[in-house]
Amino acid sequence: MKKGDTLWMRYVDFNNVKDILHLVYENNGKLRAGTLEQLAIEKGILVKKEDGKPLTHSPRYHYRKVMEGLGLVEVKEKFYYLSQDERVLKFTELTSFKKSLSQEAKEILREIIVENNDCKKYFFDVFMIEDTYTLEDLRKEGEYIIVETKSMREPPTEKKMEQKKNNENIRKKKKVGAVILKNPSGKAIELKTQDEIHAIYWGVRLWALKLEITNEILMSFAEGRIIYPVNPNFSDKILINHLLNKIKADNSDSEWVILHIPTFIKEVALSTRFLVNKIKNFLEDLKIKYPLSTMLIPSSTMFIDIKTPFERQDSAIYNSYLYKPEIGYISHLRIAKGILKEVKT
Amino acid sequence: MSKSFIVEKYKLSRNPFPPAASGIDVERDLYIPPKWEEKIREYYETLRHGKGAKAFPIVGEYGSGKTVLLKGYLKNFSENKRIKTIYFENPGVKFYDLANTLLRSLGRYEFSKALWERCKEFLTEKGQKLLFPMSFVQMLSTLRTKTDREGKANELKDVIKNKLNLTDDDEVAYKLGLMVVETVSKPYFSYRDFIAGPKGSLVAEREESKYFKAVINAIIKTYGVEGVAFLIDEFEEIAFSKRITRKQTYEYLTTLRSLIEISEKENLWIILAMVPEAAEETKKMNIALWQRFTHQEKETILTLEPLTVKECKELIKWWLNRARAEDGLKEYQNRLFPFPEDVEKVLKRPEIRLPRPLVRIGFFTLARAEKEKVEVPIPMDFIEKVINELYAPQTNKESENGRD
Repeated sequence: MKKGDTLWMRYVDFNNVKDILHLVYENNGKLRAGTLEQLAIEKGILVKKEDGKPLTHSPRYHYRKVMEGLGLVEVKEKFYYLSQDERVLKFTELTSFKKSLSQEAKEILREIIVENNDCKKYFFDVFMIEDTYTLEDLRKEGEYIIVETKSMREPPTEKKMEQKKNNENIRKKKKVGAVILKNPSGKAIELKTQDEIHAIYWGVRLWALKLEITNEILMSFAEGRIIYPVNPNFSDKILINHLLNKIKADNSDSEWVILHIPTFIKEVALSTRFLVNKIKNFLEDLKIKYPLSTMLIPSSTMFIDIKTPFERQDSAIYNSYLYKPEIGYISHLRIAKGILKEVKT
Repeated sequence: MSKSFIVEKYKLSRNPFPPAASGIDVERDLYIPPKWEEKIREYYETLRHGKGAKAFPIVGEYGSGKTVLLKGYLKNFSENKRIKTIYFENPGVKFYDLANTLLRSLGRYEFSKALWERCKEFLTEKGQKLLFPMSFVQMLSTLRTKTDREGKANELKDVIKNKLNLTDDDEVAYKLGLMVVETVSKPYFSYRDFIAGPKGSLVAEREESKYFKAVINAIIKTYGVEGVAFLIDEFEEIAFSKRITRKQTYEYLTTLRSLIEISEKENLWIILAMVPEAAEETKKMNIALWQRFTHQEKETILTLEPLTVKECKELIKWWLNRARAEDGLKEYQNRLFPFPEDVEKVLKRPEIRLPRPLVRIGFFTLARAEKEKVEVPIPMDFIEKVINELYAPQTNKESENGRD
């Protein structure tokens, strides 16, 4: 990409991308931008979910640009052709029009995205020490990163209040909205412009999240969003061992150990790289398997809300809690130490 | 007249369990597990001699017995140690919310009168000596003009500061004096009295802590007690009742810190009841403050856990005894009857071994058994059915729904 060009990555639904790709495949070299978009609208792909009305020009444009940018299609003399890349051909074979993506097809998409130069440069590189890597390398060697936003760089509330109270050093708000993706090792990517933020933070980051290349934890506003590469080889045994070690480490004279679920999820997710939802399922199953040794402790949503001053971040924070329709949000799991005798590892 | 079914069969004068366990009148003795009492005694002995804050949190989920413990046990426990207790429910996040609640609960007239009585012996009587000492009302009636009131407030200030040693700050002492003399025109506290700064407020600007300390000292001296205990229930509920702003978080922590600081220096006990998530968040927001509150390695945190089988049975017996005070029923006291002796078989799940669920189960089991004229002892499957309706066990429906 030339310097000064806008980035092509934007949030798109990959089920729609797959369906448009099938339109290209069926009409190879016969469709130009306008006719491809028109056909995609007629087939109910580039339409709004809520009312079925056609998407506006911008998102239609972005769908085409994403397909071009990822190398799924080639444009020759303004006509769209299916890419001859083997992976794209296999992806087309493995998928069907209007049918959801299989795990195998998703894996191909993941590889394409992780190996795309722009996606690497602006997003995946920050997880890695080496510059050359594959999806497998990212999964095995990728570090977690922390997303730092403008508000997080403001002084802590207590300090700020003290300053205000003493009427000293009232800091003027800086109008810098840069989003910084930071690897604890020091490596960082700074997204300075609106274009970069749209393309990377609201684009590639969400592709990676939806396709489970990465997963995210947001425990508190102050700590920031943590993004980590996902280990797809989930194992119940590893989690059980982690849990049992926690119980063994408790020196209190109580027969119960109390576990803060978001903290447990964070610790386990960062050490095993398992998906948050898999860890949550594990904890829920624990209550079903060992009903007499476990107990779910509900929390009021107000305790979840306090962790961020921004309402839009709440849903991400809620994700670190278990949710039971009949109980509500669960913040803690109480486990009887006696479970050590019950559990077979 | 024939006896009712519940008396005849269950040997109870009525269903003793309250239907809404959360609304139990706890201004009386209630069943408290001995291990909780033990912990409280241990913390009291440790903290009263120590240099740190005389404070500890009670952490328990909804229905675990926090309110019962505060109102039904700690109130009596403290008062037996000559510690005046003040119970706060949802006091508010700001410091003056506490001051406001505290003084309103004491009453302006009562508090001012008590303070004046304490000051009286040091005040020089002007003019002719009276046969009977001047009463509070008489004293107030002499304060007709603003000059009279200011003069008396100044006299009281000197006594408050130099004789009673309630504070070392002139302004705080004057404000307390003012509170006494203005009782004639303002017999009740208003919220604005506690907002430092505005005209006529009782709290000296930026001296909220000193003012609060002086009030605590005044309570100790005027009520002839050795200390004051704040029993604060659901402190966090009001603080976090809606989306909390960063400013409110700061105020919550400032209030907590101020209380802890006062508690370190004065004989003020702070016992806060909170749910586990509130404790977790407070700890995260300010770990140093939390450590001062829980005395670091001593870890003075009273965690309310599920009751043991024995404790569950004791709790049920305690409630059944409430309906066995009459002759003919007394012999059934301290018995689980009409519940089966091995009722623990249906009380295995930990989430129902908390005081509130147990009381609810007790009420609904008896109510339904009475209605359906169930014979004694009430069958286990009958009780289990009631329990499962009230507290459905976790099933593996979700697991079957395509989890991989």
